[in-house]
Parts: sequence; C-alpha cells; structure tokens
Amino acid sequence: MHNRYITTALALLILPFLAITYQASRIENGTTIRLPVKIGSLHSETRKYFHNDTFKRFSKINLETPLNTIDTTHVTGHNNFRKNQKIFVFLSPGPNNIWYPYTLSKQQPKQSCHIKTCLVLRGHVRAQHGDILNIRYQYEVFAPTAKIEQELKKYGDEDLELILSVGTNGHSTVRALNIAGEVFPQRKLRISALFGFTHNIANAAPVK
Amino acid sequence: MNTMTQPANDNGDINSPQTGKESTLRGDFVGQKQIVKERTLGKTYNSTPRKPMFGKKSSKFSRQSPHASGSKHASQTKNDHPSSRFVLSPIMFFFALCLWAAAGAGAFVYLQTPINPTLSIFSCVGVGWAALFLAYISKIQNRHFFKDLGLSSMLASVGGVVFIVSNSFNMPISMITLCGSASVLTILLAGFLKERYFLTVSVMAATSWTLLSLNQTQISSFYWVFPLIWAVQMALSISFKAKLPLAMATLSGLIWLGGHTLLLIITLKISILMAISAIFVIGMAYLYVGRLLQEKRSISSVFQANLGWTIAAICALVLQDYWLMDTLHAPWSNMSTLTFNTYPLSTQWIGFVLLCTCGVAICAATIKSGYKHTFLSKTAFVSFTLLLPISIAFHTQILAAVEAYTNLPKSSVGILIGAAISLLALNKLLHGLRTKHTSETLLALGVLCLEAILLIDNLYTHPENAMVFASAVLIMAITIGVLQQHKTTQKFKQVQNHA
Repeated sequence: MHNRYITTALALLILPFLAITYQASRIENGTTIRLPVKIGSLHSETRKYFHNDTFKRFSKINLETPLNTIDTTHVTGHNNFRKNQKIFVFLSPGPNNIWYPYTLSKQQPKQSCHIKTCLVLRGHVRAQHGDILNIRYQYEVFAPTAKIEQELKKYGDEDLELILSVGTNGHSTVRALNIAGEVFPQRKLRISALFGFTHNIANAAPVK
Repeated sequence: MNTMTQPANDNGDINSPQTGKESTLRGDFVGQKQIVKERTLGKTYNSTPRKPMFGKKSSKFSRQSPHASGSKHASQTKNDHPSSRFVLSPIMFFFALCLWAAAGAGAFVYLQTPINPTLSIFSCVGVGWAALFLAYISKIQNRHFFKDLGLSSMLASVGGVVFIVSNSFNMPISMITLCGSASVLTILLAGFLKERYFLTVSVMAATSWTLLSLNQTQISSFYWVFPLIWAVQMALSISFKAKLPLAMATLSGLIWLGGHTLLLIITLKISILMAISAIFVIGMAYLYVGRLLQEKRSISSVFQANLGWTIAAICALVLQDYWLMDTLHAPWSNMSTLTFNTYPLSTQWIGFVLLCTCGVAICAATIKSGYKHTFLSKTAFVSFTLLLPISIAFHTQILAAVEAYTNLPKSSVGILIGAAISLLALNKLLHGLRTKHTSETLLALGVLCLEAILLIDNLYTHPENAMVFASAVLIMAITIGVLQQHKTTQKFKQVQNHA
C-alpha cells in the first residue's frame, strides 16, 4: 500500500512539469504568426494581509486582435453560428508575411493544412451580430511577466505586436509580445533545462 | 501500548466486533450484513493476543494491520518488528500531523510573495506530499477523520498547482475541462488507492461536468469519456458498497443521457424515433445488468433493475403510441421528414443497438438464479429488445407488408407491441407480488394503466384489434412460459427468496 502512496506522490510532482513542457513544445514547434494587438486594462489580483501590506498575486491583461472580429461577408464557408459553437478559421499567407482569414468552418478539417500554404485556428463563437462574428481563441487572457508589465506602461497599442504559435490542431499560444521592436517571450520552462544534466555529464567526461 | 482503535464500518460508525452476532445497521440490509459477516469471520482486532496452544504460535488472533500483505504468519512477524510498531505508534501520527501543518504554513507564507512560479509549484507539491504522508499514517492507524483531512488537503494542493500552472504559464482551462479532468483524476486515485473519498469527489465532479456541458450547443470531442468514467464509478461504488456515490453516479448518468440525446436530435444527427429506440435498448441492457447484480447480491441492485425496466417500459409505450397513431399529434407532428438512411449517425445507431442487444443476450445467458427462464423465453426477451428498434428503422416497409399481406389495419403492429408490453408488465407484477417488492408491483401496475389508456381508444375504433391483442398475449404467454415461471415449487421458492 505504501508503494501506491509513493507512486501517487511522484505523479503529483511529475504531472505539472509534464503540462508545462507540453506547453513549451507547443510554443516552440508551432507556426509563428504576427498580429497587431490591442491590450485591455491591466487587472491585478491583490490581497491585503498583516499590517495592511498589499501583495500582488497575479496580473492579467486582455488581448484583442483583428482575428477576434470577422465579417462573414468577406470570407467563404459557414456564416451562421450559435453562441459557444466551435469554429475553425482558415488563414492563408498574404503580402508582408501577414496571414488573412479566407474561410470559416463548423467542423474540424479532416486533413491538416500543409505548412506555409494555410493555417487553421480553433475557437469558440462568443456572439454573432448580423454578419459580424465575435470569436474567442486560447490567447485572449494573458498573464504577463513583471518585465512585460513594466514595458506595457510606457507604450501604446500602435507599438505592440502579438506573436502567436499555432499548432497543427488549431490551438494557438502566445509566443511573445513585441513592444516597440523589442521581443519579450512568454514565460515557459525550456525543454533543454530538463535535460541539462546530460550536458553536465558530457562536460565532466574526460577528453580522450 | 495498544494504539489500535475500534474498526469503523463503511459509514464511519464504530462497532465492536461480536463473533456470531449481527448488528443492526442502517443502510442497505444485504450489503451491511455482508460487511459485518466479513468482519466477524476474519478481520477482528484483539488488544491482547491469546496464549499459544501446545507451544505453537497461533496467528489467528494476533494484532494485524488492515493492510498487511502476504501470509498471516509473515504479517504477524512483520508487525512485531520494531519499525512496524513505530509506524503504528502515536508519535508517528503526531509527526505526520506536524509535518503537514508545517508544510501548509510554509506554502501559505511563501505564496504571498512568489518569486518564481516553479518554486510555487514545488511548495504546493510539498504540501501534497505531507498530506499524503498524513493520510497514509492515519489509514494505518484507523484515524478516519485525519485520513480524509490528508486526502482533502492533497486534492487542495493539486488544485493549487493547477491554478499556478494555468496562470503563470498562460494555459487557460475552462470550467468544463477542469471538472472533467478532476473527475478522471479522482476516479484513477479511487481505484489505485482504494479510497471511497476520491470516488465521492469524482462523482461530484462528473455531475458538475454533466450539468455544465448541458450549456454547450454541440457534442464535445470527448463525449465518449463520460460513459467510460461513469462505468468505472458504478463498478467502484458497487465494489466499495458506497450508496451515495452510486446514487449520484446514476443521476449524473441519466442527466448525461437525456442531455446528449436532446442535443443529437436538435442537431439532426438522429431522429426522435431513433433516440427513443436507443434509450429503450439501453434500458433493457441496464435491466439485465441489474438482474446480474441481484444475483451477486450487490447493493442497490433492485433499484438499478427497476430503473432499467422503467426506462425500457416508458420508451416502449412511447413507440407504441407512434405505431397506434391515426391522426398526427405531439411530439410526432414536429418530427422531421428525413428518411432513416439520411441521418448522419444511422450506421452508428445500428451498431449501438446491436451491441446493446448482444449485451442483453450475454446477461440473459449468464443469469442462473432468481428467474425461471427457459431458452425460448430468453430468446423472446432478446428478440423483443431487437425487434422494436428494427420496426422503427424499417417502419415504411413493415407498414407496406401489413397492408399487402393482411387485412389488418395499420395500427395492428402497435397492438402487438402493446401485447408484449402488457405481458412483461404482468410478469413483473406477479414477480413483485411473490417476492413482496412493493416497488416492482407499483411500477408494473403503472405501466398496465398507461397501456390501458393507450389501447382503449384504438380498441373502441377498431374492434378487430381486440382479437389481435388477446391472441398475441396468449401466444406470447405460452412462449415465455409465464405460468411455468410463476409455478410455486419448493425449489423455485428458495431461489426466488435469495434473489
């Protein structure tokens, strides 16, 4: 019985890091797309404890890109959606390395897009007002690092660019934020860090 | 020093073990009798060991940890070891409790000003480990409150880790995904650690998941996960003899079934008739699984069998109403006019019906005691399970055949279905009267009343159907051997009383 408890304890340790490394692999292996972005107000969650000291716990910002609002008259495919319905937005590359939506679908594509020919983004419909669709993907709520927070206070939306990483299944993750030409990457656990001990062993091996 | 407390039963009540006596306990009588019987036969705890007879050590009455592995002699030797005595001592318990409190306090203080999310994760994991250690020591020492406290704080630490990972590394998790993942994780823990606590949490998470998914406008990609988890929850609830998780799992299963069936109908994946037929075969399969459980004397088996029978009966009555219909009325008046083959899931529907019918056949073949079914009667039950959905799939062909080859009106197919339902209800009524199960009697009477309401109009407008009905009832009664089943032989009485 104690072996089972030990196994459970080890699983408790390993599972969060598996999730984090999976996120890191999604960021590193996805197709990169750059989008102009509008950033909403910074929402900081704080708590007051002893002696009225305020401790900041998590900050969150809302990211909005042109892909969150699509006019169905400008694209082909399905044009009538219900709230919370799944939607697949197909993008194709245009001039200046900008990706444009060209069709919408309610079903998952049976074949994945070939790299550099098209891209699929998976999302949910938040609302439909006439021909305008309001769509939510996976990147809208973003927890910035302290450094990103500081930089965001200095610049406006025109100096910002969102760099997304899109996987073959349509899942999008924030790769980095470009603030006035400087790229601030998303917080992640590098996969190579887990295997750092192999480099140490290699360094310690005697040279023949 | 004796640190062993009196063993508690599955409801948390402490009973002193009494050899040869049965205590009156609340809850399911058969299940509780079995628990007490097991305790008195092999798992009692005495504070002082008996003196060995003829110089040999007797292991029968030695102090045993509830989770000792291996042979009795080996476990006795193991528990006499100083390390085992230390594990069972109150010093180890207080050490575990202080360690848990210290880990919790440390994590609370650190998380006020987290420097690095990785270290925050480690602090939560540390609390989880201390909680697991407390739960393990409490389980060995039969301290149920502290065991549950340890397991609860372990789950809370997992929740903390999920919160930190989700927020710090930008991995948004929706509430539905959270409830579904919690349900999967806790059921795995329940099976792995053999803890009823996790089973209860899993069932609650699954119920929340089901209720939240009703808000969705389409079937999720992981819709198949819920039936799998539900089956494991039911199996573990029966194995642990846990009534509350069993009741909640049954309820959440019904909600999931109803909600997703409606969703499939609304999105025109299947028709209303196909949906009702599918629920009918599910009800029949559930009825036979309940009868198998009755044979094994599992808890709540009578309720589960009655639930399956009720679902099957209601669906059969609704389908009979469709066949008897002369003028369109609700809900048939709102039905779409698509043919059977045009529905996207028609092939999957056929496969599902065949699978459930095979399940019914296997269960019917496996059941030995309690019901005196002949091979012919079992075949008749399985055939009825299959024929009713087939009549829906080939509705127009059957109507054309009835018109072409007989002089009977169209509604005669509905009369035959009504005859079968009436006979099954009559069979149930007789069984309920003989075994003194009021629930069965009342259910059967209810179905017979509904059947009478359905048939009265039709028999009045088509008197020739009365002959069809009477003949069908007589032929089916002889086929399934109603009289033979309810013949009161001595052997049969014995079998029925143990059912």
